[in-house]
This record gives sequence, C-alpha cells and structure tokens, in this order.
Amino acid sequence: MDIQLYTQKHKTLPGPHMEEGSDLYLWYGRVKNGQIVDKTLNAEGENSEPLSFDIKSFALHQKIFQDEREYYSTLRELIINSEEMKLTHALKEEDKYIIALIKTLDEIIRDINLLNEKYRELKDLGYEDEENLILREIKTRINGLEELREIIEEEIRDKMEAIAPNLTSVAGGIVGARLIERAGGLDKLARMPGSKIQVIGAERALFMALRKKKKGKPPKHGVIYQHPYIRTLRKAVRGKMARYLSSKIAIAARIDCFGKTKYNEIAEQVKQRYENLNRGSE
Amino acid sequence: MDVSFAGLPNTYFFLAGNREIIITRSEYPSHYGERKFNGYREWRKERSKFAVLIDKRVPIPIKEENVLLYLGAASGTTVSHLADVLSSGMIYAVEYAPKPFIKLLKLAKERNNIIPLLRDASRPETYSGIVEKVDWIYQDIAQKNQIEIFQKNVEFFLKEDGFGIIMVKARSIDSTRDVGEIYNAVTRKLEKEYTILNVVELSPYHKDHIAILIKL
Ligand SMILES: C[S@@+](CC[C@H](N)C(=O)[O-])C[C@H]1O[C@@H](n2cnc3c(N)ncnc32)[C@H](O)[C@@H]1O
Repeated sequence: MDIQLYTQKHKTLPGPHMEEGSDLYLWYGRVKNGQIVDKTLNAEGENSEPLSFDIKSFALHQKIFQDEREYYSTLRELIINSEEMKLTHALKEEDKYIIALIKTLDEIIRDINLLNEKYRELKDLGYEDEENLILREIKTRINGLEELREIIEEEIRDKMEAIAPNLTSVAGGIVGARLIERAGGLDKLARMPGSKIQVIGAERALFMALRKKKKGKPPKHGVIYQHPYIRTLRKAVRGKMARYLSSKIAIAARIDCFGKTKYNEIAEQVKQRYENLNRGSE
Repeated sequence: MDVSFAGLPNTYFFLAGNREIIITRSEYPSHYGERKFNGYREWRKERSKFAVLIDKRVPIPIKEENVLLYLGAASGTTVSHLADVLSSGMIYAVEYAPKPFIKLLKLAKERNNIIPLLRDASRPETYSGIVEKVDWIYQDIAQKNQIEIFQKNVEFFLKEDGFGIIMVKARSIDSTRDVGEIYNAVTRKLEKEYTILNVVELSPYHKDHIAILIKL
C-alpha cells in the first residue's frame, strides 16, 4: 500500500500495519491489504478503528473516480438516497413508540380508576386513612401512578411535537397521539377524511347505531370529544365543532406526514371557530 | 451596500439601518426565515452560535476550500451559512434526530457541498468509511458526554493540522454545579489533548453557553 500518499499521522491513529489482512469498508468498496477488492457502493461504511489514511486521496490515487468532482457527486447521491430511506423508516419507528406509550398510558389510567374505586368502596365501609394501612397504601400507589402518568404524558407531548407539529397544535399532544394510535400510524391517519377522523374511537357506537338503523344521530363520543374545545361547548354546537375540528385535523396530519413545516394558521382558525361557537355568534 | 469583510470567506458585516448584522454571500433561498439582501443571507446571532463568534471578532482561520465535519447539525441553520462560507469545500453534517433531519436533507439537496448523515455522533465508526479526513470539526450537540464524543471524532477524522470548535451548554453538562466551574472542568479536560486557542462566552445571544476553539 502506498502509505506515503495518504498518511495521516496523529498520535492516536493506529499505524498502517493494523490494517494488514483486515477488510476495510469504504463507501466505494472494500479494501484488503491496500487493494480495492470490491467496488460495490455502500452507504454503511463501518470500521471499528480509525483509518490511517484518507479515503478520498486513496480513491483518487487509485483512479476509482476521475476527479474530486466525480468523487463528491457519487458520494452525495449515494448518501442522500440512503439517508432519505433511513429517515422514512425512522419517522415510522417514532410513531410506533408513541403508540406504545399511549397503550401504556391507557392501562395506567385504568389501574388508577380501579384503585380509586376500591379506595372509595373501603371508605364507604367506614374506614379512614389514619387508622387503616391498606387505605394508605392504596393512596400511595395511586399517587405513584399519577406521577408516572404525568411523565408519560409529557413524553408523548414531546415526541408528538417532534413528529407531528401541526397535528399537535390543532388536536393537542395526547388527543393527537390517541388518534395516531387508533388509526394505526401517522401515515394511516393522514389518509383518512375528516368524517372518518371524527368517529375514531367511537367505532363500536357507530356500529351499534348502524345496526339498529337509528336514523340521524351519529355517535358523539369519539376520541376528539376529549378535546377541550368540544368538551367545553354547549351540547347543541358540539357536533358542528367536531366536524370542523376533524376536518382541520385531517389537513394537519397530512402536512405532518408529507411536508412537515409548521403552520400556525390552522390552530388559529380552529381557535377562532371555537370562540365564535362559544359566544353563540354562529 | 455598506459592507465590510468579516474575516471568513464570503462573510461580511453589513449595516442594516443602524444595526450591524452578519451576512453570507448566497445564491440560495432563505432557510430558516432569515432575511435576504440581493445575493446575501442574514446570519442571525440568536439562531446560530457560530454567528456570535463572528460578531465577537474571534479569529477563525477557515478557508473556502476546507472540509468540515459538523456534529449536531439539527435542521441546518448554521450548516446553511457554513455551506456559503465553504463555497468550494465540503460539509459532512451529522444529526441523529429524524425530525430536524427532514429539513437538513432538503438543504443538502439544494446545495452541492453538504453530505447529510442520519447517524449518532457518539459512534464515528459507523461513518468511518464515508467521511474523509477533515480540516474542521464543529460540535454543537448539548450532551453530557459531548467532550468524549468530540475526542472520538477527532481520533477518527481530524487532520494533523486541523481545528475544532466545541459549543458547551453548561446546563447539559451538569445542571447542579456552578456555570464557571463547569467551564473550567471542560476546558481542563480539553487542554490535556489539544491546544486551546480561545474560549468565548456566547451571551447575551445564547445564555450559559461557551465556545471553545482548539487546534490539534
Ligand atoms: C443545539 S442543537 C444544534 C443546533 C445547530 N448546531 C445549529 O446551530 O443550527 C443540538 C442537536 O444535536 C443533536 N444531537 C445530540 N446528540 C447527538 C448525537 N449523539 N449524534 C447526533 N446528533 C446529536 C440533537 O438532535 C440536536 O438536533
């Protein structure tokens, strides 16, 4: 190996002898004993030790590329493609994490409710915290679970802000995450029309309504009914708000899935509509 | 235009009204909402720690044709200006969070001197067959073990006559200790391996941050 040409003498770099016999994985191929033995392009050039030479000088000296320009344009194209693919995959993985967190959150909430119920039952029998160890222990457990619930909710909001900033600003982190969970992923949610998003989480009620052929009333307790803008409205206008909100959620999810820039206008419009309905000016 | 050379290639001070701002010569569109002045982009000090170094007249011997390894590129705010500075050079931009990487990738497609790597900077071995030996390593990752990460990357990639810039956020190193104490500890650690050229506080633009400029 023509060591002179690409020496990189730094005290912490191993000498070229360390490379003898071992394979080196470079993006433009595999190098063995100073010879290029395979010219397959590969975006995963992993080597456990620092290389004792410069990979660009080596490539140019070996005439693997005509010139620096060709070296860089080939490398850029290879890496931009590979990282783009990795990115799509990584973004999907992130919504899987959120889905897992929502499921955990739901179970914790169930446990909290259950414990609260038992706590009340015992109290109804006339027991008090001060004199009863079990009551105190249950209370401690509930507090611990409430803390855990907050930590998980915080993490969900954080991750939601990162992978779906628009959905988060329109629906809120937790409601948004629940929608992703029920839809089975951000990409699936992004493909749904507003009308479908409106009934996410109310599928069972919807099914019952259809079976009974009850005309008119669509179910009114889907996931988005947890949104404060709906909960705090008069019953008469909730349906209107739910329709509007779900249509905006559909838009927000699509932007997050395909574009990613954050547009504050959508959340503004939703707020405006809420205020109008709340004031009764609509 | 009322401009004066700022000491780095393609970088100038410019009097906008009565405020001095920094601009880089750039034929590219605005990347993070910064203003454009025919053929130049404003390099905003509140958004980029590197710009504060220029603002504070810290000598940075960077050349137009240099190759730079950037650790913690985020969405490419600073990278976009360094790509203007290194107009005939190359930037390897490492960022491991997918979300900011979306914008970084878009930037890399626009320019021809950015190679974006969606990888973990604490594992330089994973890009050892991709990144060449570089003139500069710039690190802005706000991590507790950032000095170790910097050292590893130096071992893998920095040329013998190369330079490094490390941005240190006191709170990420230790949120309980005194800021000055943290800076001292970090500086002492770096001193053992490198020549320290400059230590610069980034206030008021970036509170409790310092930049350390080193040479091998
Ligand atoms: C303060 S921001 C960088 C801002 C950017 N340098 C600029 O001025 O435009 C820190 C970034 O480092 C990234 N980061 C932290 N640890 C990292 C690691 N081990 N590998 C790669 N990126 C990392 C974070 O994801 C985050 O985007």
